[in-house]
Amino acid sequence: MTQLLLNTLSLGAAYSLLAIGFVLVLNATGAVNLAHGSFVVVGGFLAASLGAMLKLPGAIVLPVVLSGMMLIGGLLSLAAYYPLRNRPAVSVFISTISMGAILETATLLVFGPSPRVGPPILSGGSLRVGDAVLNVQSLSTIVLAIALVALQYVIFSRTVLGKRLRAVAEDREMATALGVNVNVMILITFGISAALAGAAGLIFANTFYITPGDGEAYMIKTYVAATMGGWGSLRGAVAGAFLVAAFEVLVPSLPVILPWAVGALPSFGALFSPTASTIWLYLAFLVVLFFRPQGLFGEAVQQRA
Amino acid sequence: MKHLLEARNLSVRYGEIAALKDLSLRIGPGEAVALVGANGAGKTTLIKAIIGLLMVSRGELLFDGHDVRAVTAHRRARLGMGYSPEGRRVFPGLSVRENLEVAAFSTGQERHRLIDQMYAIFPALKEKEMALGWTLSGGQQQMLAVCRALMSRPRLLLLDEPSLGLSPKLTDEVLWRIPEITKSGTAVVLAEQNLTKALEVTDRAYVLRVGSIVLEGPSGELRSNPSVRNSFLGGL
Repeated sequence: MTQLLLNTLSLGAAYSLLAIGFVLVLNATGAVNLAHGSFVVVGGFLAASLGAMLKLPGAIVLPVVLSGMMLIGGLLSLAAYYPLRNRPAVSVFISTISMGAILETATLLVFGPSPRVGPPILSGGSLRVGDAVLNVQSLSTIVLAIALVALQYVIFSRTVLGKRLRAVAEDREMATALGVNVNVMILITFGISAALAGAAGLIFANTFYITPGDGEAYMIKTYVAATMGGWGSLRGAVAGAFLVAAFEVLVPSLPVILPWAVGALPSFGALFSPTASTIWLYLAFLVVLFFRPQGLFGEAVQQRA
Repeated sequence: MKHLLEARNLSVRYGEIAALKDLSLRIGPGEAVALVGANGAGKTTLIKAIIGLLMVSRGELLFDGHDVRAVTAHRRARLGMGYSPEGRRVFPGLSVRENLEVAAFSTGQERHRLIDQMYAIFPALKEKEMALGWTLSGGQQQMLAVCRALMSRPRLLLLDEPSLGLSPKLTDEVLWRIPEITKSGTAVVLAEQNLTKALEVTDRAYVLRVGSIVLEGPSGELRSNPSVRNSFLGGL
């Protein structure tokens, strides 16, 4: 039971990294970056190959992954966003889908189609605390995610650069007219966003494994988390990420948590298999969209008076 | 006198519609100039063309003797233009202090000093230092927008309708800072619908009507000129 809770929290923490990055770009550009899931793939393969080459844990490899992903995110904004910045949002929609496909195919060409396993953040194995056995990777995932989210928070709330990034997200034209180079700010936002997704890739590459085709699944989960939580809200994105994780971990565990129900309902086990949990997640998603189209959490900032 | 800003036969179009036609004006360093005229006369269009948010379709625009038509808005701001837009547009999710910080391109210490200077001009802002932009009253937002435009220590301050939606008392509080600002060497362009007040706080004025300048002269003279008032009512 403790392990289930820990799994949910660590998965939610990793999804939060994805969802926050996605919303940062969404707010800065007003555009949806559908290559965001592919950042996970690239980051995951980067971590896996570095880990295999250097025989070092993920925490040591992480700075390299973060900087590499920042570069890739910046390049993506130059290729897929900058030339189309004055076009309707749907152009960026399509260009980022294309870039996502390019990133994943490039990963396939460089690393081949076989799944890779990345290094654990600190080490594998588990830790005994009292009578609970806790997975070290899950624990370190939570710590790492909190550290990265805190770092992101400090950058955006304490540095002038971060405040400018927020200003650009709130009123791009006004920021330009005050001397802020909006294009550079958006490039940096893409970089930060990709770095966070790359860190998630590093985590997933060990917790699960990573293949070049994984981007789509991560993209959809990110999208669901951002939409469920509240489009454009960072806090909402985190909440959405934990909701998605809860469905993924807890729904398949229901037969374990409620063993009496398995006997009571003949098909109970099948209804709550890991595969079926996806169905429940999207059903919940539709219910949320239907009753609260603005997401579970409103906008953090209200309209100006 | 060397001109700080000079527009020569400037035209600006919105698609097919000409918003400004063949407009010429000159502003010297430290001078306060009013742009007056009825709603739709082209005051906001002119200010946006000066800061670079609208493209000049014909004519020249010189800042400090350099043609700035091809210079982007953020570079014009860095060259020394400060912009306080119509409708204030403070960053709603940034605090008062943050709104000021993002507009300063000097080092940390200088930024602190400038912020303190702004708080000295409008003490109401200091009290609200940590409040988010959207929570401020209209008057406080206007003060913030003016101070934000001053954070880059501009040589030319563009003020677009700073009295819009403000009480007469608050309008005075904002507009009567203009003589102080020009005393420090910064030129001010004030677009105002409030004719009487605009002419009180400026040295010279241009009267706009449907995209052209129809009258210009020292503000004191225009105050007693009956055709100025008529141009607001659609006459002249």
